[in-house]
Amino acid sequence: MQSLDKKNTDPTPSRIFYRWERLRLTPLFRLVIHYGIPIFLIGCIALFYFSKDENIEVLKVSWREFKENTKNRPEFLINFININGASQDLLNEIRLAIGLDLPISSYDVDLKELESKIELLKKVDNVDLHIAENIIYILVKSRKPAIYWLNDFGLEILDSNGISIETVESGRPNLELPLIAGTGASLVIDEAFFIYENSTVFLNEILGLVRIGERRWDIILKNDRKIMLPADGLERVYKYLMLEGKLETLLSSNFSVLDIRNPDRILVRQEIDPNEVVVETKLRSLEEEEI
Amino acid sequence: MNKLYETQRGMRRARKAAIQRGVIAVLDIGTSKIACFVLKFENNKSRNFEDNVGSMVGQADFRIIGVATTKSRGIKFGDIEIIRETERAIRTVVQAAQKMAGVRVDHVIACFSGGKPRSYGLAGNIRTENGMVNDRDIASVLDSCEIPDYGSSREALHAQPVNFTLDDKNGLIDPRGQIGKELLVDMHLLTVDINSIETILYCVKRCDLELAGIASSAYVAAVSSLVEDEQDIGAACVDIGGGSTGVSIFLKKHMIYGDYVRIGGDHITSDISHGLQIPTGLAERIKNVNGGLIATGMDNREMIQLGGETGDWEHDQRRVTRSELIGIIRPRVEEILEGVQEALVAAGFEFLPSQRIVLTGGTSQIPGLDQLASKILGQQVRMGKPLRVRGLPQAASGPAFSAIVGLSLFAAYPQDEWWDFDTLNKNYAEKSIRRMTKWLRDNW
Repeated sequence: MQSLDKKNTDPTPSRIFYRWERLRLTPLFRLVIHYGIPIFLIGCIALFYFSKDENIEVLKVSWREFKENTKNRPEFLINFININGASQDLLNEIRLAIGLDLPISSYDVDLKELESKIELLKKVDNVDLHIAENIIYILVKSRKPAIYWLNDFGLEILDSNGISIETVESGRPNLELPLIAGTGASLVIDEAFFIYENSTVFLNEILGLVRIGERRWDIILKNDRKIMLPADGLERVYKYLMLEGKLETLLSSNFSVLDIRNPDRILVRQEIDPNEVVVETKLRSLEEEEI
Repeated sequence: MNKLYETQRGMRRARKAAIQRGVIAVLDIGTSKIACFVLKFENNKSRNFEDNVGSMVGQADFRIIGVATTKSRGIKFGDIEIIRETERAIRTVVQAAQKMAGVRVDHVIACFSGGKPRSYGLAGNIRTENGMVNDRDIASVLDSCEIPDYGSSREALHAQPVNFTLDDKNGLIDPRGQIGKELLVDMHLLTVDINSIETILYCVKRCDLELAGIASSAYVAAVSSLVEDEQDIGAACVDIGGGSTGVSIFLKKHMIYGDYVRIGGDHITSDISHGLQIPTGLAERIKNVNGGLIATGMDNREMIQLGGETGDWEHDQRRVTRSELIGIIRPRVEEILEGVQEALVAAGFEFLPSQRIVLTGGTSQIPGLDQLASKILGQQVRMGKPLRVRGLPQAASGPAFSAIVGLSLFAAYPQDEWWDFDTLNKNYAEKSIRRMTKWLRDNW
């Protein structure tokens, strides 16, 4: 019996199909089919899509939305700022300087910028910031007041590097700290410290140091006395003075000005007797009357 | 002759080009099946020992990457009868093999069993040009062979120098570089009908392929199924195919004789079909499943259900004993073997040092053939299978594939043929220049 539906069981490919198969197996053709055409099609679609401005706009907006949504996830939000190593005033100052509205996404926080902002504060020496678990940790190292500087604008507190910490409005809150004065005194603060350190013998006598002509120091002592120091060779001078109690001898003498500007020729200006002054005044007035 | 000479040289060039590209197809055009392998030549010589095939000399650097077979159509006794049908079959098989290989093949080497192959032994001799044998001497000694008159309808398929004799030294395989005066050559010439070559050329061309070589299937079957020793000391390979049986005799690694018997497995099938009155397809199936050659008492009791779709219930329910089936198959196989015996006698096989006969081809798988063959052909009969080459699938490793496996080896390592040497009589101009330079060299 023959099957009624006559199926073509001949497996032979037609000539055209055979040729097509052979073409399909050629390497270049395969390359074109596998990569060339898909790339071309994708390129065409992309070109068509981006040729309309509104499509680009839509893409931009959705990208922005996506970014916002991601940024504002609770995992990235910062709700607390932890500041360590600062006094109460400094704390407030830092908070003011940071000026962040909490909560804020950690993507919006620029730690570098914050760091520079905080370091701009006069009281802050350096600062270390990091973010962990929704908290900004700020570790502050504040400047230590080392010296007072009296200048044209008022009284300033400097740290040991001569950098200004704050300006004192009135009075001198901390009497322990030494005092310097004069223009340019903060630039050579090392010398000031040197002088203070080596003048332990008469430290109680010292009122302060004055920078003269941005060149040399005067030590102002109590009872209207002063010591004039040379512009350079301070160390040599002190060494010389310390020799065999020379300084004590000099200090014990009754002087108004001790001039050591030239260490080879130390001048001691004696205090003037008030009576002599009266006599001199009278004499001068007489002379003027004569004229 | 010259036309074929040019064709053969062209095919050699095509083969070289194909191997340069690394891919070539081999095609066995048989009477019952057409098989196609796609071979990949690996130019880098890294030899790895996968699939347990070691690096045997001369076969390790190609790999079979595509295999396909199909039932052949339009072929009778190994010759193409209906070109269109055969072309379709070739198309099918090439397409499938290409698909499996994943590469496109442009060159194909074909073998076929038809064309009534006939072999001739030729002899030639010359005096060497300047004492030492060189390529030109070999070409001229090959040229000096007296070509027998095989008729205008036939053409040489193989023309291989088999043996060289230089003065009194006999049995030289390659005399180049040796010193001697007189050079003699024995050449084996296998001719086939010119029509069969041309139809194959035409079929292959219609499939958009280029023919890069053509071989006799009896020859290539022996290449793959005879082991090296057998090829060397002498053996006959009997390739029992579907439509015809090829016989080839090897000595000193060359084919020295080729013949055919125009009976094959298809005849057994048609005998069964006639004898049992069943359709050919069914007969083929019964032959393959229940066939045999040696009947035993057991076979009288083993009943075979014939089946059929004639609609006649009685007819379709018939049963035969296996003995009856064997009784149909055996005479035909005996006829084949007797034909082979005649061919061997005609070739003078009994004078060879070794009497080994190797049976291969699809029909050699009938159980009991080795016993029957040893009764007819002599004791030294063995069943041959193709040697293993890399990438050969299990399904294609049976004796039915020995011709195509041999063809793969032939494609990779062809034997020197006559047309591999330049003939002399065509370039007189070159010869005269050569003479002039020789004269100059001698006199200055």
